[in-house]
Amino acid sequence: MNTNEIKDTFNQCQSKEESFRALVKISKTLIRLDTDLKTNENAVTGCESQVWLTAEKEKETGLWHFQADSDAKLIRGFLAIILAYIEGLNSEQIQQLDLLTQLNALNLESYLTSSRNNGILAIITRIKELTQ
Amino acid sequence: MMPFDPISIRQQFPILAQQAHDYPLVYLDNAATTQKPDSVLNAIINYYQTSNANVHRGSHFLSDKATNLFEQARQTLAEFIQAPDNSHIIWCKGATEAINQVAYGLESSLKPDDEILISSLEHHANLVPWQQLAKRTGAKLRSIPFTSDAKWEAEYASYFNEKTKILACTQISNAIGVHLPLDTLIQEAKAVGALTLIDGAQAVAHYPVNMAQLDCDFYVFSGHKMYGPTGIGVLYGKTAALEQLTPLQTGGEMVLKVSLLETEFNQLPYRLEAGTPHIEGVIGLASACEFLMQQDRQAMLDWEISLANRVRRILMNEADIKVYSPANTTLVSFSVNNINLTDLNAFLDSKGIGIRSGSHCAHPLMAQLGVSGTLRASFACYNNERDADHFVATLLDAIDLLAD
Ligand SMILES: Cc1ncc(COP(=O)(O)O)c(C=O)c1O
Repeated sequence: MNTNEIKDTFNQCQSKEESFRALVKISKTLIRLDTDLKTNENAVTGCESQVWLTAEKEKETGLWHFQADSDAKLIRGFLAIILAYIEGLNSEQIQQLDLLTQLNALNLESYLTSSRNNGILAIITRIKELTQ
Repeated sequence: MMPFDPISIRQQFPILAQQAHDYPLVYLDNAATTQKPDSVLNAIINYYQTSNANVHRGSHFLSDKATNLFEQARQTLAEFIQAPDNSHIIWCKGATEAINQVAYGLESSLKPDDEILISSLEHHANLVPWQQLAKRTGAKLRSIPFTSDAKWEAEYASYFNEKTKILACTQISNAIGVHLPLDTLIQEAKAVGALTLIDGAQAVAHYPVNMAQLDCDFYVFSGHKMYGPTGIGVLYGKTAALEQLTPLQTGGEMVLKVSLLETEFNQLPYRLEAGTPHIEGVIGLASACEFLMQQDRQAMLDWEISLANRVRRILMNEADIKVYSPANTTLVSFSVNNINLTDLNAFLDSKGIGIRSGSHCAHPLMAQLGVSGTLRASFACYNNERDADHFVATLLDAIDLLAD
């Protein structure tokens, strides 16, 4: 899904349950990480669930490619959304992107309890650090 | 005594009448903390509106009033746990602080190779203070490996020997609701001359307790898990046991006479209560005890257990659900095959249902069970069948939705 499709999907949700279902559905689009990439080095700390994130820059173009995974489906849903926003951008574009505002526009606040919210913030911070 | 009526009880807890994420709130995280009845809230407001002053200091109208209420509260607590008299009741922040006071307070009586005994079901609050004490003193921390049916096994007798100095164990496991066989444990500990501490944090809201009968040296609990306010709890101790403790904190009313180099400490209970106490908390906690003592406790407990059993019966029949808590307790602790606990919790929360997922501050127990955590629905007197049924139906929906 691209970001416009994501926005459409969540804006069409009539109830929290529908957006929960949409988040579960989108989680299935996230390509799972190989076990040998689930290392301490790739782990994002500060999340209530386990989260791993890798970032790789193409030498010639300077564009970033990401892979991410989590043991929790909802977090995989959030990761799928986040990656849709940042995949294939260059460092400057990523640094300028206000991911939190984009996420908030999807009306997913009710799934962002304080601990999950901290987890999402930790993921966003890690992305910015890796792509500086 | 009032006949137990779940409908009128619930009306005394106005917080429960709200919507959560547009659904009626279902509060099933009572083992973490309970809600407070109007009577407790009013006791605190009333204290501030009519009697606020510092206690035990100065003699004026309000100070006397506050001191009387404060010391009456100690009397109420002594009655609540059937302690022989008021001097056995030490105010503290809660179970954690009480255990830390005892662990710190016994430091000078421990030698290297002495043994401290706990159970494998302990909350970290009744583990870490002993582990750290063991590190500081060279004593050895040992854990009796109770399983989820918590029967006394013959080989446990070997954990008690002449080196055992302290037995510290919980009355009821917060994570899986199991009751430990306290009578046998305390008897074994006494036989080898060890001091005994019982963590009653999960018991006092549900079970009447009797210090004279239980015969432990220390008993600790938190007010906020028994319909009282946060920030207040009790360390009960027998006189000789309390006398052994070095105060964790010093200063304020806990002294009799101070010179620059020496201090003569006050008598019990004041010796272990440094600084201005949490007066409103004490007043609120006494009110919570009165709330409980007015109830038909057996009927109330039967009601809570019937709700937990109602949930447990259904979960036991689900192939993908593993239940860790036994029948006839006030909570249900379980996990679901191949489904992440936080995902389940998020779905339940989005439908207004508050339960707890995670390790419940009991990592060693989770390791023993071979899980990273469980979901726990814990009941209190104001819960009802609607709460239980709505929880189960929503859980089963969530499992459907989240299964791969
Ligand atoms: C069995 C048990 N012991 C100790 C504690 C610690 O209580 P508090 O945090 O109120 O000090 C708890 C609270 O979760 C508990 O369930």
